[in-house]
Amino acid sequence: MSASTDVTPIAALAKLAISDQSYSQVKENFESTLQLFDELTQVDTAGIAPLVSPGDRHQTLRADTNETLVERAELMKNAPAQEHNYFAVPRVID
Amino acid sequence: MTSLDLTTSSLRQLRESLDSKQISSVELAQFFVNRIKQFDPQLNSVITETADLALEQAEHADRRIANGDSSALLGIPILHKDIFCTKGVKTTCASKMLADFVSPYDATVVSALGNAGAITLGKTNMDEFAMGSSNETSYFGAVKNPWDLSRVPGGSSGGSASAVAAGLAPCATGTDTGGSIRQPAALCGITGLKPSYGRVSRYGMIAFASSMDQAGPMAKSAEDCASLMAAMAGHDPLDSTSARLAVPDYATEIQKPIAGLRIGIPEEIFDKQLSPEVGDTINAALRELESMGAVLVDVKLPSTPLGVSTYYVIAPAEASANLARYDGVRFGYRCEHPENLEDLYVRSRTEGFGEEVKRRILVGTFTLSAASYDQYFMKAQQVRRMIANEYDEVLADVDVIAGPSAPNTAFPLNDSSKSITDMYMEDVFTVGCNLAGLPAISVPAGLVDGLPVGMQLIGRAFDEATVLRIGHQFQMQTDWHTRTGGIEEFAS
Amino acid sequence: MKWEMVMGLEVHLQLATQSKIFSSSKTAFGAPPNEQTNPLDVALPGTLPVLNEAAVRQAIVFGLGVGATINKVSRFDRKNYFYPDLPKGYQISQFFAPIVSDGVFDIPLEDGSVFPVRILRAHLEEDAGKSVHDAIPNQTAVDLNRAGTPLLEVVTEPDFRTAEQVVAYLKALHGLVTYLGVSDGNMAEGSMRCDVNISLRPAGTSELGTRTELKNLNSFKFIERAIKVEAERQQDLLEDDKAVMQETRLFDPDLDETRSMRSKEVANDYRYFPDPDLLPVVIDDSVIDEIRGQLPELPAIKRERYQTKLGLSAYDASLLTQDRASADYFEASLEHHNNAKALANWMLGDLAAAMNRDAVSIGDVAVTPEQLALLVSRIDDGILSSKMAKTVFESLWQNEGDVDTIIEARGLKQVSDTGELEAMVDELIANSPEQVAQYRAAEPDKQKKLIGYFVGQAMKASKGQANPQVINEILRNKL
Repeated sequence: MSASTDVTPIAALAKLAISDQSYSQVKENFESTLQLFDELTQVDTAGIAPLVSPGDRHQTLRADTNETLVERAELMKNAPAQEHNYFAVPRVID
Repeated sequence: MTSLDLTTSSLRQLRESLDSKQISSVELAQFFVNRIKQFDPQLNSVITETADLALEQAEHADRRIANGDSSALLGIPILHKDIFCTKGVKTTCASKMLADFVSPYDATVVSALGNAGAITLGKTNMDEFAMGSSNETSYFGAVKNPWDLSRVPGGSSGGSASAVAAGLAPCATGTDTGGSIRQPAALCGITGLKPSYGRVSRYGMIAFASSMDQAGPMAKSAEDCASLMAAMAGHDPLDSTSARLAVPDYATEIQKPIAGLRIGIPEEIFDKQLSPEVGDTINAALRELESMGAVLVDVKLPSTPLGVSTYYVIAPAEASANLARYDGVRFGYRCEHPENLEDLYVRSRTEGFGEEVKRRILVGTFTLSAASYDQYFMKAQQVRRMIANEYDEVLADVDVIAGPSAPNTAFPLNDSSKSITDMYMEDVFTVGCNLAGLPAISVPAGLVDGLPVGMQLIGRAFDEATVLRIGHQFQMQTDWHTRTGGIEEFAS
Repeated sequence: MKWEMVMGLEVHLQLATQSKIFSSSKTAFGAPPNEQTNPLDVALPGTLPVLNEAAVRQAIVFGLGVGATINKVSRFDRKNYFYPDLPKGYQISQFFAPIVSDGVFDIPLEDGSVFPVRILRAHLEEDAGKSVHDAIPNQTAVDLNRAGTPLLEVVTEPDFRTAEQVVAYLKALHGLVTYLGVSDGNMAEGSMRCDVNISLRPAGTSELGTRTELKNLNSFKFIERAIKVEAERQQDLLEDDKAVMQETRLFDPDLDETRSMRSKEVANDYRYFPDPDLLPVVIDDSVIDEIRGQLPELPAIKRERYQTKLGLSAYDASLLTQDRASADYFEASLEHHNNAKALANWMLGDLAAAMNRDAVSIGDVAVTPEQLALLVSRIDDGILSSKMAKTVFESLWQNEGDVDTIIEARGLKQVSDTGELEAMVDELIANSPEQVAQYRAAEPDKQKKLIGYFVGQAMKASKGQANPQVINEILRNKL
């Protein structure tokens, strides 16, 4: 029951580009995966609460204290571009 | 000691050799460093070798041993799946996106094993971002199965499985989100445990599907896995999903005989997916367990056929968000000469990620989108609860659920007959307990045409002790786990 | 056609905690770039969030302060989008199940009436970092110090009809959160950020029109302007039979107009889903009760008390309770001298004027509450005339010592000794025979005016230290 889907806007949301040559293959793969889900979408799940995380545990809270786990220089060591301790990206216009 | 002895020694045997000074930690580390150098080119199971680090750690271990410290893992060499952040060492997740990433911090699993005295030999190859069942999606090339170099080792922890099977390391860490420890363990003839969700910390483990990822040990026996679990398991305040539960004394627990334990056999397992020969092997293993006093019980897990689709909705969805941080801004791959921000994002991600990763991000993004959320994602989470409830009901009556870890033995590399969704079906027996958060072990159970078959045992939540125990007792009765079909070719 | 403005507000409050909401990094304002970050704030691979208990407490405190329901189970969700100051590529927020819902906040308006604002919900989320556009030439610089700071987003129902109500709400909100110690509520520093959702509808109708969201409103002035120009813009469209587009608009104070935000124009599907790295937040009744028991007296209660028990006007009560520091100051002074009205007058008069003149906030004034109380007490005792008191106040303000030492040193004691004053008046009468005669010859009501001359002279002669009431009496007797 997978209608034909335009994968371009989905790719755009995920910041991925699909080349013209590969578009049809990507779309085919995408649709075949969706077909895998057909049976799933038909299951009657009335009244069943979604399971987000196994185990029914609750969030433990952390004390409000300060700790520096890694120094700035180390944290920024892998930055592709940085200047004056800022991460640098191409100019953004709001 | 012959090198065959060292490559086939269990962790306990290595401990004895170290404690009795038959070998030093440095010598032991050097031995495996050399084996990796010599034989890994044929397997491609290691991405980064950390010989200097290993020797440094080994020296430290020798000092501790000299002072009378005889902790179980002290001086034991280990390989870490390249999904664990290791401080000062490249952590690539087998992706171009992180090919040059050097982590500034250690994953909790890594520091826990390090504190226990384990020696880091290197980082193993894997499917890119843990997405795959054959270790063919790695940026650094496919890993080979030492039992047959034309075949896959399974995935995503293929590098760890292959290395341990080939005796390049006595043990390794892996991760399992949909079967990524158990399936490669089965295909490579070793033992691998996926702990209960929350048993082992996920801090520092590069996230794929946050609600299912678990780190676990991969070694040549359940006893060895138990040894590693003693150091790996436990609450970590840095991981909110980590359980605050005491860690049992696995070493003692596994010694208990298994007579009287009830083993559930789901009827849904023996269906068209399973190869008849693998089915026969599993049946023989089950009869073995029965001869040891275990009681075989027929059970039903009617939602089994929905497992794969449920998994492949949820895991890629969570992954699509987890992988959004790979954007070329603060670390990782950045495209050349980005023209603007959009270009930076799109080209860095399109060039940095492999095809399977991009496929899953696409599917995941789709199922979370406004128009699809209820129909796909929420539905999958509801079915997930149904599956979890089914397991709970069955496990209220039996102690473990048994079956095959994989539908078939190791398949050929570059098998073009396998479609993408065929590959997803590799996980049919393993995804259930990831969805339910239950522990499961894979132990070698036989050979089919000379290739290993693994038997899977699924236990109740936080009852690793029982699956390790049955695995260990099974291994005391049988010798499948000692078959070194993966090692003979490499023994010097 | 008469149009009615309908507005709802979303205010983001930075919570006053030591560490960030999910990491243990510092939250102080103004640190060097990327100095206050941890692996999680940079979104390094493998990092995980752990919830700060103080953020939860502050949310509960706020919720109780607006009489809202504290949801015993709440959850975190991921809001997915790409932006350089959002390191994970998603913001952790509470979409499906917020920690606080259904409160009412009564706002005092300038005319003394009370305007109830329904608080739809308040939820916890993390702040983004900052994009700086002038730190690196031709690039945008990203500073993640702010990334992960705890925010409480407070959302109202569309109950506002005028810009005045909006500003009153924000002032009251600032007062409340500073009272409760939940946030600095500082619009200039960014610890209180306000977005206005605004739509128009024909007056008298009940259906909501299409709304736009206004952002970048960092002062009360801007808010009033932005609301006005946007309402005008929407009115023009609607009167031309054109549709208002649902979008986010930035207020540009230089051009005095609102414009569409380019980056938000593209429809963004945030793909909200429960964050699997965080577990449901479960709050026990005992925790809520404990926090409730520790709440300070809320501004509304104080205002009521100041009016009924202390006899202050609604207006004065409102000003004094505008923020915690002022109320605390007032109440501290009251502990030393219980002339509430006089203290209120001094605080809202001379003290406020001096604070304004020298740009000093109530927390930094040199005049302590005790000293102000003492000042008023000396006036009440008759030791200081009101005029002299002002001089003493200035000296206090300049840190020249305490009330009594200043009075002593400057000899400002009001002279009320009748003997001394009688003598002075006698002298005065003797030296002013013409004025005396004029006075004695005048009609009684004219006398009231003429006596002023003598009082003035007497004050001059005594250098202002004579007690004018006593002088007046003596004069009347003697003339």
